[in-house]
Amino acid sequence: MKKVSFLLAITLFISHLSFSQSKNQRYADLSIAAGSGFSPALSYNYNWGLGKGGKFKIGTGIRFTYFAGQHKDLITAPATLTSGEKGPQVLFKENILSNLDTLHVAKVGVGYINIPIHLQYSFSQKLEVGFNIDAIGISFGSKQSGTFYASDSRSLNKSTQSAKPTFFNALLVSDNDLGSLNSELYARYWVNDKIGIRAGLSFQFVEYTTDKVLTFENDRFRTKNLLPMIAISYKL
Amino acid sequence: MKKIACLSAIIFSLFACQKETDLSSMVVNMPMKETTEPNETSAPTSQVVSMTDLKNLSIVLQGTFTSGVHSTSGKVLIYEDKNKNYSLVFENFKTDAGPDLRIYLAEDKVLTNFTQITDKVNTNGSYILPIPATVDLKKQTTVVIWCKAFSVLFGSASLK
Repeated sequence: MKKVSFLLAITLFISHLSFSQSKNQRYADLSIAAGSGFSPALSYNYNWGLGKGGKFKIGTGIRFTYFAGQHKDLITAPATLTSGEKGPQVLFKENILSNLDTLHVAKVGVGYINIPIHLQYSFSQKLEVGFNIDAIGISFGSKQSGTFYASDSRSLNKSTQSAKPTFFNALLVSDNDLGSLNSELYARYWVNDKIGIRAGLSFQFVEYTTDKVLTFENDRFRTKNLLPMIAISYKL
Repeated sequence: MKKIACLSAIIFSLFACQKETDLSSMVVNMPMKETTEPNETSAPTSQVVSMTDLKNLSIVLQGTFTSGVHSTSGKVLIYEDKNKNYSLVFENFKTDAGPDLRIYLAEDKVLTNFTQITDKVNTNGSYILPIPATVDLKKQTTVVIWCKAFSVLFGSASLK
C-alpha cells in the first residue's frame, strides 16, 4: 500500500511538472565573481515552478566554475579535525584551532564542474531571488607548491609541499564537504523576455589534496571565499 | 583459533593488571604483514612471552602517557634485543574505549611521519607490541593513541 501511495505521489508530481511548462525556466547563465579571487562561472539550468502560481521554483543543471587566486592560505579541511565531529552538527561547532594547519600557495587555479541545486522565489514576472549550491561533481587543475605551516611539527613546519585540486566534489554540510563547491545567493531582474541580470554573493570552497599525508593524518586543505558576483542570464 | 588467541590475550592482560611491573605474563601482538600508506601494520595476532625474554633485552627509550582529549595514563618503554629488534612495552596502560583506535609511533603528537603499530588497541593493561623495522627511533619517539575515525588524540607519550 505504501509503495502504491509513493508511486502515485511521484506520478502526480511528474505530471504536475509536465503540465506547468510555462512556470518553468530554462536558461544559460554567465557570472563573474571577484574580490579575494577571480571566478567566472558558466551554467545551464532548469527550474520547475511549484504550486499554482509557480512562484517557488526548484531546479538543477550543470555549472562550470573556475577560481583563480593569489597568495592563498589553505586551511585543514576535514570536519573531524576542524570541529571534532561528523554530521550536520558541525555547522554549530566552533573550530578547534589547535587542529588547524596551513598550506600557503602563491597561486590557486581550480576548474570544477558540478551539478547544482536551485531554490528560487519570484516576486513578479521580472524580479526574483534565489539560492543555489553545487551538490556533486569533479575538479581539475595543475599541481601547486606551497609552504606548510604547522607550529607543532618541527620537521614539517615551513616545509615545501605540493598539492593538486581534490578530484571529487560532494556537498555534505559545512566542513564535511569534499572538494570544490560554489554557492550563490542572488536577486535577478529580467530585463525582457530573454535576458536577465543577477547580482549577489558567491561563496566558494576550493580544496587541494597534498601529495603526502601531513600532520593529523590529513592531506586535505581548503580556502573559503566570499565574493560579490554579477551575472547575465539568457532564457533558452 | 582466533577466538582462543583473543581469550588468551584477555586473560593474560587481566593477570598483567594485578602487579604493576609484572611483565611475566604480557601479551605480545605480532603483525602479520606490513603496508606502506603511510606506514601501517595490519591486524595483530597474540602470543605470550616470558619474563626472561624481556630480562635479556635492554631499555632504549621510555616515557609516561599524558592525556589528550581522553584520560590516558601508564608507562611505555622501548626494548631492544641483541638482533636489533625493538618492542614497545606498555605498563599499566589505561585509556578510554573508542572507535577505530590506533597506536602510532610518530615524530610528535600531531602525527608527523607516523607509523602505525597496531589498529587493535588494548585500552587497559600491560602488553608488548613489536615495532616494525621501518620505524626510525631517532625521529619517531612519540607514542600516540589516536582515534582515526574522529581524528581525536586520546593521549601520547614522549620517549626519552
